[in-house]
Amino acid sequence: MLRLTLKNLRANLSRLFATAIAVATGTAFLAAGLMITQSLSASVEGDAAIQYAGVDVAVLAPADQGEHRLDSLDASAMEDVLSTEGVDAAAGEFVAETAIIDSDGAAIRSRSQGRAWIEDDALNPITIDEGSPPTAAGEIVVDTETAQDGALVVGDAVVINTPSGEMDAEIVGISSFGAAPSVDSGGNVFMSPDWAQEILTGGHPGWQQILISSDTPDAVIAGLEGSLQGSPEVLSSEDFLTRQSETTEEFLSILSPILTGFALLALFVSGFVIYNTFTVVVSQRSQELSLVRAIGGTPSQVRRSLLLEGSLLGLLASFAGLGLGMGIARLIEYVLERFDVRLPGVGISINPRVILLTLLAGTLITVVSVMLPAWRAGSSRPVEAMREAAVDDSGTSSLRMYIGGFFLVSGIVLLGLNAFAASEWYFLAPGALLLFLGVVVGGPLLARLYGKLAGLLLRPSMTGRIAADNMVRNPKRTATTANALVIGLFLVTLVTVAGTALKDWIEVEIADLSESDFIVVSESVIPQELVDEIARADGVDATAPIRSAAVSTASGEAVLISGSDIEALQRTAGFSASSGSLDQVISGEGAAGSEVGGFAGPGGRHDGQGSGPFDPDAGQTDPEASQTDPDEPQSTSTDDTLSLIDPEGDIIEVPIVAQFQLSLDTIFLSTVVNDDLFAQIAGDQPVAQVYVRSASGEIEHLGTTLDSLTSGFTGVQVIPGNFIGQVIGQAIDFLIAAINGLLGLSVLIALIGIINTMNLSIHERRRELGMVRALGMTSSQVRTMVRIEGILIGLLGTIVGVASGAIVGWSVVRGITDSAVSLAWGRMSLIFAAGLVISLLACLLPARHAVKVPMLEAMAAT
Amino acid sequence: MSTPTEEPRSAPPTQVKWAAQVINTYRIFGHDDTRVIALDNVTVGFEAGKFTAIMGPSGSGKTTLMQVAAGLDRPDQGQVIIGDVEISNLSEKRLTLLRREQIGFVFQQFNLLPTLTARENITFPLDLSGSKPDPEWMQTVIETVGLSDRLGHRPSELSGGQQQRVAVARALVERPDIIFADEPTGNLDSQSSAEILGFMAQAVAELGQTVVMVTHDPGAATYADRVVFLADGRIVDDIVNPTREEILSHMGTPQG
Ligand SMILES: Nc1ncnc2c1ncn2[C@@H]1O[C@H](COP(=O)(O)OP(=O)(O)OP(=O)(O)O)[C@@H](O)[C@H]1O
Ligand SMILES: [Mg+2]
Repeated sequence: MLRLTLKNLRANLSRLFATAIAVATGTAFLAAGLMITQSLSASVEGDAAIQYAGVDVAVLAPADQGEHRLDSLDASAMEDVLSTEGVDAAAGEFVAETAIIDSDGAAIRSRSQGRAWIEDDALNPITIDEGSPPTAAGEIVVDTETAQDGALVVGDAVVINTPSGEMDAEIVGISSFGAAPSVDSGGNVFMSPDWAQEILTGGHPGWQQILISSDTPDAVIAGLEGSLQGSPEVLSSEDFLTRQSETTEEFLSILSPILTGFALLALFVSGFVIYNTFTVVVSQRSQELSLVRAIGGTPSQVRRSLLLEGSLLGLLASFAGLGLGMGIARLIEYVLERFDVRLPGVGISINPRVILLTLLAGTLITVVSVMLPAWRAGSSRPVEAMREAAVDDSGTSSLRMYIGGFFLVSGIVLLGLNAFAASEWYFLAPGALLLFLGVVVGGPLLARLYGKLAGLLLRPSMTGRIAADNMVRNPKRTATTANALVIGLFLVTLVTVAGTALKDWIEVEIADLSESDFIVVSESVIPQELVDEIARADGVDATAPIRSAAVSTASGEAVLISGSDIEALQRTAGFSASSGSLDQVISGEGAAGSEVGGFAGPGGRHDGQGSGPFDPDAGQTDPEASQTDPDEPQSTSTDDTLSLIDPEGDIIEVPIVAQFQLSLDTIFLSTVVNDDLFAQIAGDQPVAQVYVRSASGEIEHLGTTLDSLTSGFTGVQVIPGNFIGQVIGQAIDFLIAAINGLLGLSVLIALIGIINTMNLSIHERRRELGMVRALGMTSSQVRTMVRIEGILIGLLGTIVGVASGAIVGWSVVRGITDSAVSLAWGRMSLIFAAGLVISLLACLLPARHAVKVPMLEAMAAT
Repeated sequence: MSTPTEEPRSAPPTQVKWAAQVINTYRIFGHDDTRVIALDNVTVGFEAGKFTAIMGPSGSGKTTLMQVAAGLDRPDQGQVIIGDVEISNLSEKRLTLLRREQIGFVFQQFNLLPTLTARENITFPLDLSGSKPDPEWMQTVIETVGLSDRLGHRPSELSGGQQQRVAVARALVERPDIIFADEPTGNLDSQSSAEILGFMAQAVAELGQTVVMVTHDPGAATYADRVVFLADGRIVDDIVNPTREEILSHMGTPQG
């Protein structure tokens, strides 16, 4: 039997090739996903281990209620640590975004991190490749990759952009981190600890964590606990390393199920294609198979032979998939690098686990998909083998109609319930599942109905008519082929419809929170001349320039104070009180505090990974807002009075007389006073932001005017008032595109499935093709006929896929938003068009194949 | 080898109109060891308005001759003239169109498209070219073949003889210049055979149709006006208005 199996494999090579591609594509994705997550987790843990190899004890700044480590350790904590018994050396760590600006005013690398240089050799993981470490203010060391990107050498004078603004620096050394160029994937700028304290902390010295080397770590831990002010965490090196990899693991715990999910989906779709191919292979070989049985092969031998064939094919294809997966993983790595995201560590690697899992999954799915056709082959009676490729009415029984119809209807009803009635999500999954089952069970019927309809529509053209008839010659096969496409397009549509509707909804909700038309912001300051020009610009109704400063209180805390023309701010940014009254603020007798305290600015403190969609804005949201208020993350109440130290050192008492309503515009403000009071408190400060309101109907014109006004000023940006809405919208759009890109894979496999089915059908109908050619069907008519058939199958899959995706998507969105959902008709028609293009592509090969069928041989074949 | 055009050997001396001619034609299959000369310098003409039968032992080249004469296959050497068109220079597409317009076929089996009804199968070649059947002619043909009550049926619902009748009707409906039939009665019982053959003879006699039929059956050949005998790819005999006895005696003649 093995000999027969091998022979069959060889004889059907070209036919099985397409199946192999389907299996390989599915497994490739699984392999790529596995490789990336594995190497990520391995290397991140490895990196942290290298980075903190010399650390015996670590002191971490206390965390707030959330996971955000907003606060830093006081500078005095370092003195406490150094005076603790058993401490050999200690170094403070402080990381904040710092970019090197090139001559055009743009950052060389957008995500580079500034770090305080660690002077102790045992604690420092960085090696200086060239030059020397930074020792004085104005000296920096950059990593090799940054140096390469910016063509920088030791001795170069550069401008760096830090949380304290732009400043001049000189490159004194080039560094590397083990085998990698830098600790942070976006690159590093190192500076002496003292200078880092000055510029990275925004003028409020402190450390994010303190690293300690010691021979007696336990004693040190015991000594530190209790002696330190506040409640910093003291960790042993082991706990510390675990803590370090937690973020990555969190990230991986999201990433790896996603990748695995897509891989499983691809495999699932492959299953349809494999099943279909083998069904046809079996029916084609039915004569041969019944011969095998006639000469003494038992049904189980026939089945085993087919199963063996499937497993061999699956195994071979999985090997191919493994290789392909390596390629995909490298491609992903490459694409990420283009976006300046470097996968940490040594990169993609392959290990036995990945190999085993991939081969197993690929072989398993193939064997499972072959099982049913194999079983059928074993139980087929010789009479069936004699039947010509006639009309097959199987799969259109009325029982099937009732069951399929029941599933479909109940699925839609549940989805409807999900949309309107229930606040819970109980109905969504069962509804979607029933819908899917209905499509699968009722598929052959649907295909037949659709084929009849198409036949009626295409009646005037004989070619089209025959194509429609051929399409439903075997409704089950047509349905299975179409279903492979249905799955892919269903998910693409679902993601698109739900994503787009959510995006629209969020954008509208957010637009309600925003009053100002534009906010002009700067990485450092907005020159007064520009502020004046903006105020005079055509189409401006009002402007409100904001000056901000971190001011110390009598008790030594720092408070972010913003000064503005309050009435202008009311006008431009919808600034209003949620409690108290703004009257005294306007007259300069008090301040307005924020409802919930300062805006917890974007992270990016420790590594580049924390940067969310707000990241491009990170430089402008005034990093001080998040860093200068160590003790004031909570709201100020209206009863408070701030005792602020003015530039002369005198104390000014400022009562908080109101709380302002938090909106997207005022999210950057924490304590607001009028311009006069601000000048008293903080002296002469530059403008940091300008809120702009346009005269009615002038908004677009004004946008261009502002863009051209600010274009001459480095670092000054115009943000539309609905900026956050736009950012979220873009983020959702990006997500939709990314997910659809991955889903496209399953659509691709479905494409292979259509090609396969068409080729096999043509093979089955060779004799007929020969006859119609003899009777005078031209090759172009044959081609048209095959194309129409393929497009009809594709169209069926597309219609069902897009429709069911839209239904489920509608149910999801309606369930979330409780408001009428506008379906993304535009995008849906794009998906529809894509489905048609795919069907067209799928017909190219079979159409050629059909024309090449030799007429006489086909007719002579018996 | 240069082959001068000559009048077909078997041409009667009077002025005749040829529906199809094959002149000095060779058709060779395979190479070296497997080389088979299926047609070996064959020259034959098929007279318009006549029923010609081609007979000969199995493997003698009957099917090959028919396919070459009908433009389904191209000869390796020699000329094929259908109507008054020399087909060797025609493109595949022109040849297909010529087949569609001027030639009708009846094959031994697999004559019909399984998805189409009998009526649709009959009009299939016309539908391909987008032309409409002449309703009167269609009616005549259908009545003659006796299929009136079967037109809505699929081939799978028809008997072998009925299927063959549909095929004949299809060949007739387009009023081709010539109908080629390769063992049209090969799979039928004598009763059905007689019906089909009688019908074809009737079409020739009453409607002036030209028919060329390949057959093994001496009884079938008696319906023809003329029988051409093939052996080893050559024409070995040619008799006009044959009787059953004549045919049997010719079949009995040793080859060579
Ligand atoms: N496509 C082909 N390839 C190779 N040899 C062929 C091919 N077609 C025909 N032959 C050979 O040419 C010769 C004539 O074949 P043909 O089919 O014309 O015979 P026939 O007279 O129709 O026989 P039968 O009565 O059995 O149908 C045979 O020897 C056959 O083997
Ligand atoms: Mg023959």
